[in-house]
Amino acid sequence: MSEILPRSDDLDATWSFIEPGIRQILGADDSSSFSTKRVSKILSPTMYMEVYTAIYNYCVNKSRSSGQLHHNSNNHTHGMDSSTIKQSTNQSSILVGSEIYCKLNEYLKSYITSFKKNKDESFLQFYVRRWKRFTIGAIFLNHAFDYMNRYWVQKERSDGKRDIFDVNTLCLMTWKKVLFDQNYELLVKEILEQITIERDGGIIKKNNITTAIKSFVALGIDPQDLKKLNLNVYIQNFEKSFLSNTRDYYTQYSNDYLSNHSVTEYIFQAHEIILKEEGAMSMYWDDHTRKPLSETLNSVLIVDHAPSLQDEFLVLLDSRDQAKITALYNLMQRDFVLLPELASKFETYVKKAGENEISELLSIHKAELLKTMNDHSNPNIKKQQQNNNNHSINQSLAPKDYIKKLIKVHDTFFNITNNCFLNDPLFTKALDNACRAFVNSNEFALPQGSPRSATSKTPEMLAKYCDQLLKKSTKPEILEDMSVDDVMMIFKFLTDKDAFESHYRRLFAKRLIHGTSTSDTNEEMIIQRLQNENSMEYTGKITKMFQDVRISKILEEDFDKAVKGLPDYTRNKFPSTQPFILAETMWPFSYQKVDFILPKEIQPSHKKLAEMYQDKHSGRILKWLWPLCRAELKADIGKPGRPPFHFTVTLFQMSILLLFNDNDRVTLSQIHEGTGLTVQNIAAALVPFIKFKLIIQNPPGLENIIKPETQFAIARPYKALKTKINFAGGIKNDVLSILDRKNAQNLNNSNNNNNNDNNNTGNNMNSTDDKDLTENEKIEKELATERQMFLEACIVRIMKAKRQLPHTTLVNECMAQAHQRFVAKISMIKRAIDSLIQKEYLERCNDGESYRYLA
Amino acid sequence: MSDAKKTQQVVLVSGEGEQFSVDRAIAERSILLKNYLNDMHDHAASDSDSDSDSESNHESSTETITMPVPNVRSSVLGKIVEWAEHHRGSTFPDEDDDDSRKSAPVDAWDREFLKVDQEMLYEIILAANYLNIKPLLDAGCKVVAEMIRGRSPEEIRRTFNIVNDFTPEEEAAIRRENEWAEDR
Repeated sequence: MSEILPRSDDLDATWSFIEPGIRQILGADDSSSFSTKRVSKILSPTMYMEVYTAIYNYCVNKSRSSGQLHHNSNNHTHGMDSSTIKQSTNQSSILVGSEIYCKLNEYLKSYITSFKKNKDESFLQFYVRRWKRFTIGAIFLNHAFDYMNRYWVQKERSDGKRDIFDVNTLCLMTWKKVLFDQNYELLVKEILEQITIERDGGIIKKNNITTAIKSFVALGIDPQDLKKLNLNVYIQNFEKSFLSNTRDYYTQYSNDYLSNHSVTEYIFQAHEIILKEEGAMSMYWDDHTRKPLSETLNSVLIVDHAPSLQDEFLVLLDSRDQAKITALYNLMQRDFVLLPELASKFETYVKKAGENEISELLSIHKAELLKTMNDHSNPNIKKQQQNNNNHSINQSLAPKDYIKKLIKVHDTFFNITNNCFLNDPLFTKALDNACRAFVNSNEFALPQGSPRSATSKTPEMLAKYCDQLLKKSTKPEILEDMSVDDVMMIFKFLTDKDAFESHYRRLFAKRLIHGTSTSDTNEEMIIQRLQNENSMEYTGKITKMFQDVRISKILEEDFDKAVKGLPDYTRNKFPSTQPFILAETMWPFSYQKVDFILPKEIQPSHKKLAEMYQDKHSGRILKWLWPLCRAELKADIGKPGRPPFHFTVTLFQMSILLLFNDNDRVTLSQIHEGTGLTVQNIAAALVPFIKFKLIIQNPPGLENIIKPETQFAIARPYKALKTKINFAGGIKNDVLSILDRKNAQNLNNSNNNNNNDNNNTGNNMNSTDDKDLTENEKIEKELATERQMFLEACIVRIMKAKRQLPHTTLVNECMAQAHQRFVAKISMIKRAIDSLIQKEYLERCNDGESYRYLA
Repeated sequence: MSDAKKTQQVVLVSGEGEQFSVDRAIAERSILLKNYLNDMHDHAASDSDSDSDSESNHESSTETITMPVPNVRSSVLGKIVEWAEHHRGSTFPDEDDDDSRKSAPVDAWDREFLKVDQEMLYEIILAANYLNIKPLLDAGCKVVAEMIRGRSPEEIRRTFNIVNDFTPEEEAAIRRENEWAEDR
C-alpha cells in the first residue's frame, strides 16, 4: 500500500486523497496525444482501488446503520473508533454521499471550464480532442465512484431527486452545461463547413465529424429516465441546421448544374448525389436523420425539378433507352406523389405511340399498293386503283401485319414497364389503359370520320388472324411467327369482345365445314383459352358448333354403314358423303331458299340421309344449305395415260360439271335448265373454270357469260401443272355484281317465258344485294341485336333482384355486367330500358328517376 | 485475445498484504474489479485509435495485474476466492432483475459455505458489498434474513447479541406502530 488511506469520517481529507486520482482519470494534462499512451497507465490498479476504497469508506462509515454490526467487525484494518459508531447509530438509515457528490460536481465544472483551445486548432478539433478523452474519463470515474452510484445516487433518484445523476451522466451533463451549450453554434457551423467541403469533393477528417455528431446524441440525456437516450439535443442543435444547410446547398447546386448540363446528365448526377449522401456520408448522422434527409434531397433534387424531369421522360421514351428511363424512374419513385403524373404521361405516350405506329403501317401499305399498281398494269389492279380509297386499302391490309404491329407496340412498352418500372402497378395499369385505347381505336380500326356508333375493326382483324393461324395454308411460312399467345394478348385488350366472337364464329364455321382447320387440337386449345380468359358463356356457341361437327362425324359413319348394308348398294349410287347437321341458332349461316335441282348422281344419298336423320330425330326440321356444299370430283380428262385430276368444287359447280358427262358442249340456258340455278349462281360458278381454262367459253368475255346462247365446252385434254385443283375458292360474288346489275333488266326479259325462273332470279338478286351491302354490316346489325338482348336480360336480372332502382345505378350496373363483352353505351342502355317499359317489364316511378320491376 | 484473457492472472492483495493469485475470470466475479479490467485494459486499449502497437496489446493481456483489496482481510478474501472458484461456471439471475434475485432460494452449496461464525458471515457480506459481488451478497443477506424470520425480539437479540436499549414506553410505541406486521 503506497499511501495511507484517509480517515473515513473526514470529508476534506478524503477529497484531498482522491483528487489526484480524479485528475489523472480525467486527464489533467492538456496533452492531445493521450491516446498514444496505454490507457491502463492513466491510473494504476492501486490508485483505482485506493480512490474507490476511500470513497467507499467515507460513504459506509457515515451510512453505517447498525452499531452492533459494526461492533462485530470492529477489528477491521481500516479501524473505526467508537465516536463514529455513536454518530452513525442515530442516523440509522441515512445514506451518505451528497457532500462528496457536490465536491465532484464543482470539480468537474471548474475542470471543464479550464479547457483551452490550442492556437493552431479549430474549435471542432479542440472539441473532438477534449470529448474523446473526457468520455473515456467519465466512464472510468463512474467506476471509481461505483459505491456512491450504487447506494447514494440510486436512493436520491428513487426519492425523486431528478437533479442527481450517476457519475458518468453527471460528467456529460456538466460538459453540456459548461462547454456545449455555450459553443454549439460554432461547433455546428464548423461541422457544416466540413460537410460542405466533402460535398464539394474535398478531403476532410471524417473521424472528427463522426465523433462530434455522436456527442450530440450522447448529450441527449433525459433527467427523468437516464436509461433512455433521447435525440432532442441532436435534432434541435444539429439536425435542423444540417437539413436547412443541405437544402440550400443542393438548391444552388442543382440549379447551377442544370444551367450547363442536359437533364439526362442531371438525372445521373442526382443519382450519384443521393447515393453518396445516403451511402458513404450516412455514417455521420444518426439513423433518425435518414428520413428527413431523404425527404430534403427528394424535394430539392427531384420535386423542385419535376417539370423538366417529366419533359425529359418523354424524350427518353422516344429514345427507348431503357437505362436512362430506369434512372429517371428510380429518381422519381423516391417521391411517390410524383408517380401518378409520370404514369399518366406514360399512358398518353404509349397510346399515341400505338396510334402512330398503325398510321405509319397504313401509309407504308398505301405506298406499296401504289408501287405495285405502277409496276404492273394488270387490269384487275387498275380497277382497284380506280377505287383507291381508304376502304380498299383497309381491305387489303394483312391481319398479321396489323396484329403484329399492335403486339410489337405492346411488347416494347411492356418491356419498359417490366425492366424500367419493375412492374410498378401504376405503370402496368397505365400500359393496360394505353394498349386498350390504341388497340381498339386507331386510324385503321376507326378511320377518321367514322360514325360514333361504328365498331372497331380490331376484333375482325383478330378473328382473321386466328383464321390464318388455324387454317390449312399453302404458304406455311406465313404461320412462322404467329401464335395463340398473340391472339390472347390482343383479345385481353378488346373492348368489343362480342364483335370478335361474331367474326370468329363466322370464320370458324367455314373452317369446320370446309375441313380446312389444321387440327382439332389447335382449335380446341384456342377455344379453351378464350373461355379461360372470358367465360363459358362467351364461347358457348363456338363450343356447340364444335360439337355439331363431332356429332356429324358419327352420323357420317352411321350413314356409311347403313348404305353399305343396302341390297342395292354401289359406290356409284352412294358416293361417299360427309354430312353436317348444324344447329341453326349457333351457326352464322342463315338459311335462304335457293333454286337448285339436285344432280341425279347424289339424289339417292340425299334421300337416304334425310330418311335416316328423320327416323332418329323425328320432329327436327332439316334445311339444306346447298350453297355451302362442296364436292370432290375425279376427272379423267387429261392426256391419255396421265392420272385423273381431282377437283374441289362447290355443289353448284359440280352440278354444272356433271352436265358435261352427257354433252361436250352446253349453252347457258341448258345449264340453267339442267341445274335449276340462277344465272347469277351459274356465272359465279363458271368464272373459276374459265379462269383455269377447264371450260372454254364461246364467245369469250365476262359480259358474255350471262347470255343464254353462250356456249361452254370442257377442254380435252385438260392441261394443268397440278392434279389437285380447287375451284371452289375462286368464287367471287362481287366480281359479277356490277355486271349483274347492268344486265338484270336483260336477263329478266330474256327469261320472260319462264315465270318461275324470273321470280328466282329476282329473289337471288335481292339476296346478293343484301350480301354486298353487309358481310360486315350484317355482323354489326347482328351485334346490335345481340347487345340489345344482352342488356335487356341484364336489366331484367338486376331489377328482379332489386325491385326498384334509380336510373344511374341501373345504368352503372349494366355497364359493369356488360364489361366482359363490350362497352355498353348509355344510349344503348336507355333504348333497352325503353323497350322493357314497352314490354311492361318495368315502369317509371313517380319520383322521375327510378324504375320499378313489374312481376 | 479471449483465451489470453481467461488465463490472465490477477493477484489480489489482502488488507494484511497477503497475495492471492487467481484467473482473471475469477477476479471478474467482482464487478469492481471487472470494471477496471475491462474498461481500462481491453476496451481502452483497443479504443485508442491506431496508435497502440500489437506488442503493447499483447503485453496488456498477458501481464499479471496486481489489484490491492485493502478492505478485506486474508481469511475473508480466501473465503471469497473459494466461493468464486466454486462458481466459476455458474450463471446467476439477471443483475437488474430484482424480483428473480430476491425470490431465488439460497444455493445449497452457498448455504453450507456460509455456515461459519457470525463474525465471518458479516465480513463476507461486507466484502461482497465492497467488491460488488451481487450473488454472494444476496446469499449472505438471505442467510441472515433466515436467522431473523419467525423469531421473537428476545430471540433475535440473543442471536445477534443486541442490548435492548429501548425504554418500555419506546418499545410499546414501536409495537403499536408495527402491529400490522405481526404474524397472528
